[in-house]
Amino acid sequence: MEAFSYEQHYPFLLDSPILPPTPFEMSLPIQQVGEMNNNSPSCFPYYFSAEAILGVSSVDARAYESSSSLDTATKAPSVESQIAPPSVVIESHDEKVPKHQGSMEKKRKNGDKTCSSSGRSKNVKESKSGKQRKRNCELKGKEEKKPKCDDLKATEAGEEPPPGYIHVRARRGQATDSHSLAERVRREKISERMKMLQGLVPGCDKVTGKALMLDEIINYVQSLQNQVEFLSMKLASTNPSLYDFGVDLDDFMDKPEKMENIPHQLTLVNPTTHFQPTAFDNATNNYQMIDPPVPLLLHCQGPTAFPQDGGSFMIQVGEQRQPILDQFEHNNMSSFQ
Amino acid sequence: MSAFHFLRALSQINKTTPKSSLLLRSRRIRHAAYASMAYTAGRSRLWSRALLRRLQRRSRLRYFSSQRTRAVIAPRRLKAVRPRSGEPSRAEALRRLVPGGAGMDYCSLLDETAHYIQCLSSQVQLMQKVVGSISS
Repeated sequence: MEAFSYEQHYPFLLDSPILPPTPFEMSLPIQQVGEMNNNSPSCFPYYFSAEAILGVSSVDARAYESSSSLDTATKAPSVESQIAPPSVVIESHDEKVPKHQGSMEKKRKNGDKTCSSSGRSKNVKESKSGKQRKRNCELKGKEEKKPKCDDLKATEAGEEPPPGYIHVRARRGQATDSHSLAERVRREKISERMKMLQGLVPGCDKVTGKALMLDEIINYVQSLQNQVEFLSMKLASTNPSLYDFGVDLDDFMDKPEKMENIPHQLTLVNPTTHFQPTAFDNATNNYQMIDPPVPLLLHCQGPTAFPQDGGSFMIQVGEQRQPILDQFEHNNMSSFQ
Repeated sequence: MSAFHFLRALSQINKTTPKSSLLLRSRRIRHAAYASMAYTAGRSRLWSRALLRRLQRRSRLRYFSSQRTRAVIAPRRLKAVRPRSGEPSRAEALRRLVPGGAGMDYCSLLDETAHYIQCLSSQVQLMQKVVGSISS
């Protein structure tokens, strides 16, 4: 049952936007769900009737495509799925949830079967798809009243009720009250974030289980913070010597200049930068000896004179550092923007 | 941008703080590193806002304590730590590490952690580069 509810959703994601109602028989082999061939059509009219009647907007089609590409790769949907509208994300993620939360699912299923009409036999369901739809419509109405966590869904449903009403539907065998739907959305968001973190933290992809992953993340953050502390200690201990030798300063100096090549257009740095040349007073004296036109401008004009002259000058002085800095700057900027 | 802010702060620290007190210098450098990081991340992030607020409060405290010798320390708000439902117990440890994590729900905590890790690692890279270029 678990596997069944897990798989049965695939064809819907994959093919419904592209293909008209007929070819779901064809779509199944792609998904290698042959073992449930006899089961799946029974649940399908449900989807397709809704799909065919209401049609799919272009946005939805795109979203479906993205989610389907994710599914075919059998990869965990990660950052990519952020593009898709939230309700679609729900659907694409839902397959994962039952695996993790098996017990909860079962509980829910039981509750569902006892209390509602959705947990009946397939044949009954097939015949009563119209009724089911009506029921989902009600559910959607309930959904809209709920403010938290589903607000995106709710707004979408408010704009274009038909697609919204398709998306937020819980699949067969899953609890359909608004609380468990919201809970499912939340869980699926969390797993998505976890995937994102897994990509960021080295060594995190090897461990399995959320608790171990959290441990890895915590360790990594701690180590980074310790590193910052250690490096600031190191900087504090090494810096004073800089000002005794003006020579050392010029490789310290070329960094602010490099940084200024970027904020060229950013005027907000300008008013504050003027004390920087004064900090490197003896360094500018050094420059003066070598390269007369540059340094005196620094004091009166501030940073605008900096990049062109200083930059070209620094190429002469510290060319061995140039590539390092450039490279560093690239990853710095890319990680921040 | 972060590098620029950080280096500027570094040069200012070098100017102002006495060279003798290593501990003070290192603390100020560390604060500068965090501040530049948070400043670069912008105010749209919860962690950067919390970090900036914390740093601001500290500097204000320092200002007060230097002004009138008696520090005006606001009593820290103690939030009741209750195990939140539906999240692993280790999440509390993560909350303590990520600035502003105490007030986040688990979902956004993970989100902020991801961004925080990115910024922190690039800040560490920057500091390593600075240290390397100085010591070489």
